[in-house]
Amino acid sequence: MRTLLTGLGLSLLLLVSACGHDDAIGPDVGASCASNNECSQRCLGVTDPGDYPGGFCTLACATDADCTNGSICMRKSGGVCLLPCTITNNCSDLGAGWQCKNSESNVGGGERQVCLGD
Amino acid sequence: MAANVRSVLVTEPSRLAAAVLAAVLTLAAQRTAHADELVIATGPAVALTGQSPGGARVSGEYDRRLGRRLLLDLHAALLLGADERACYFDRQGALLCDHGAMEGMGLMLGGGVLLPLRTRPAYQAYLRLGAEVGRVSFDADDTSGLALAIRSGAGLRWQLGAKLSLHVEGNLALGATSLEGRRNREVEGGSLAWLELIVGLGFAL
Repeated sequence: MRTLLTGLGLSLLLLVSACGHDDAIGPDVGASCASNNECSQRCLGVTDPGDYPGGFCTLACATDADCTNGSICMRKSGGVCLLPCTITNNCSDLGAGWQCKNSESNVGGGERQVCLGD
Repeated sequence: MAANVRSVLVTEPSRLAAAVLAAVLTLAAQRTAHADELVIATGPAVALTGQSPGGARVSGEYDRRLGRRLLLDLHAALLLGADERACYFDRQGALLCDHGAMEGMGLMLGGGVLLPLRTRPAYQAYLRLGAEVGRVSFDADDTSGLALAIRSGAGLRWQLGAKLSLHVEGNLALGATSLEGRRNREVEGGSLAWLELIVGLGFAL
């Protein structure tokens, strides 16, 4: 019985961790972009695609409350909303070249894991 | 002869009344029946998909009688809605648009038939079946494309004067559009649907 429950728990964990950001991706945060015009507010990776391959629509933020669709506020580029993750598979909806990485949070100063370019 | 007429008048008043009533109804029917006319109409068109334009619809329509229960319609229509940004590229680069019910623009040309139903003395009901082709655009997104739709509905027509009529009509348009985004000018197909309620004035030609 314990083995069964453990298996069930692991399956659930895998299922949850495998969930991507497909529903979160939109013109506010996550859409592919080549210029600010293609986003609600701002396109990251226009000149230097390093952290944002394919471009990444985002919102400027001071706290997580400024971010939409489950994104969180990180200290990069003066404070921008990025998509949180626990494993790289969470970032698969963003396409090739995205990984789950530690980065400095804009809230409280600690680090949190978000999807960023390789 | 005079005696016969007098006899009819006296002996068959009910038949005479029926004949007079029939004549009056025929005249009334002729007065309310569709004639060749030009109809200027306007009203709201509510988009039902994110790729459809919605807003105020203004149209000019030429109706030509082809038979007792058939008219040909040719028209041009302009759809004017709000200019809001609602298109974006997903991570695969596909253009996705999620516009509201009253956004975008459209210039449509259409044609079809009007099928008058049974005429009443005061008004006439009719069905519409036709198609429209044109161009839809969402300027804030720098996105536009071709549109093709089947448009059908029903309406009522009142004769207001010898050469003037009032039309109230509801229509549903269903079709497809191909929107072209600004980035690589790639074309994305989408479904087109809108509901409209229009009021028009008809001028007999």
